[in-house]
Amino acid sequence: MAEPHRSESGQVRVRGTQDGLVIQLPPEVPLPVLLSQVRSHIDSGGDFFRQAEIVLDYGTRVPNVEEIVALRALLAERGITLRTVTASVPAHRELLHTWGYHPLRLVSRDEGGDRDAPAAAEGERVALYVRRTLRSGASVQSDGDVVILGDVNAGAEVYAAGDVVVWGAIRGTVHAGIDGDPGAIICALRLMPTQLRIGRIFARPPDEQGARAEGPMLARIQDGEIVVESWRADRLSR
Amino acid sequence: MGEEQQQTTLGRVITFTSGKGGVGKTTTTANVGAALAALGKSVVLIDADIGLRNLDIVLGLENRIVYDLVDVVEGNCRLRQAMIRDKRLNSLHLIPAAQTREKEAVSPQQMKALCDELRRQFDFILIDSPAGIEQGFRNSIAGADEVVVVTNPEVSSVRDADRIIGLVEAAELPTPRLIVNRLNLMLVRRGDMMSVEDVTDILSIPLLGIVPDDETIVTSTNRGEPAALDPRSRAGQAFRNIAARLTGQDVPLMVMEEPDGAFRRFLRAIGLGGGNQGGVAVRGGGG
Repeated sequence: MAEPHRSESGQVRVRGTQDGLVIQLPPEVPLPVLLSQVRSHIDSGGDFFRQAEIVLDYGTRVPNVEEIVALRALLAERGITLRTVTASVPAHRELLHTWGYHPLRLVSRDEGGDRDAPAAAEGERVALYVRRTLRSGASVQSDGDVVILGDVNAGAEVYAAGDVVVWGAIRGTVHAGIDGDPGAIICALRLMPTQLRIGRIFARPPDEQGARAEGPMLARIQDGEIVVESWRADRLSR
Repeated sequence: MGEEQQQTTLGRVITFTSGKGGVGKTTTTANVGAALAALGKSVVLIDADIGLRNLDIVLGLENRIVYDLVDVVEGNCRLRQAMIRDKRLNSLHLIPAAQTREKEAVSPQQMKALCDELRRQFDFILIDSPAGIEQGFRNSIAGADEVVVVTNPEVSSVRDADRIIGLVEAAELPTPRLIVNRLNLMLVRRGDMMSVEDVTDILSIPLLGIVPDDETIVTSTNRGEPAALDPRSRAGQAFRNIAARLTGQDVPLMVMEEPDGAFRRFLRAIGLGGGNQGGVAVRGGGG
């Protein structure tokens, strides 16, 4: 899985993203060191952090409730609101979710994100855009949504924590909502997959080669089953 | 072999590959090479399938082998000594594979150096790749300018062709061109075989040629006489057309159905149909 927010050298780092300021925590640094590093970042930042809303990014660090409470208290002392806590390891994200945080999918501004793009509005998400055909043997993974301009051929695979949109044909295997999101969707101009998976539900096309429906299709979970239907924007409401 | 003059323009190195075995790479390489030589081009074929030597047999040259590809890269002989001249066409040559060695006996760097040397002496250097995606395949594309992917209209062959195309693209070579080999129009009409359209729909690369399923290929291959040199062979005509296209001629694809049938409409749709009577009309029984 891509690891866009890696923190080297055991240092706390602050970076700007489309989701605002992010404080990135290094793995394997004890809490007192972490607190003093965050404190010195904020204190040397002057007005930069005043009234700010920030995101704590655990990266590959293992989240810990007491730690988050201590960091939140430190931020509150300085007038900073903790917006949410996120992590790059899917299991950790799930853990944070159970603690009431909504892990974001962060795209760093200095890592190819559109510099001039306004911060994503409420309900908007950041997707991985792949502008080529995925041929047999190719694999794309993302902890966000994936948009592919091209085909996903048999023998290729796509894994996304969010939705998968293919402007082309799906002939291979696509898994949307890999972290278990049953609301994830898959859509394609032509849908003739080897296998579709959404959340924890798997589906494959019937073995008999019946008449295939043509045209853009949408796959999603309904009543615990993956249902495939012709694309209509009004069906998207969720 | 003193007649190959030093050329001012460099020759083209074209690798024939497929991923899957048994789709007709070797037959295609031999026939396209023979057809290019018949057009007056100087051609050398390299059998890169070290350990499973075949190209010499298809050309009927197996009893003339003294040195091979591995001897050349190991410096056991001079390049000229390993080049076997074809018994019919003066401008066609073969560098055979070693039968008793393995793919690792040659490195991609050595293949590249060999191709660079041959490029100065020949118009066309055609490389017959082994099946698979391992070192033998990597060797065979190391010095290539272009890649031609050979496939049969059949699901597993197309799947492997797709994988190979991805690897060729990853190697930053130009988009390969496609030969659909062993098309049986009867089976396509009955819905029992993938059509050319089905294949190009999946692979989405330019079509270089369509070779009909033709039993004369079996006999010509066993006799070591390339079908491309037999004017009555339908497959031979397809190989001659492919050779002509490689030299830059605009030859319409073989039309194997009645005018304005689905096939012709398809060719027009993808911009290959040409005019009303453009194709070499080959119907039913051939001829």
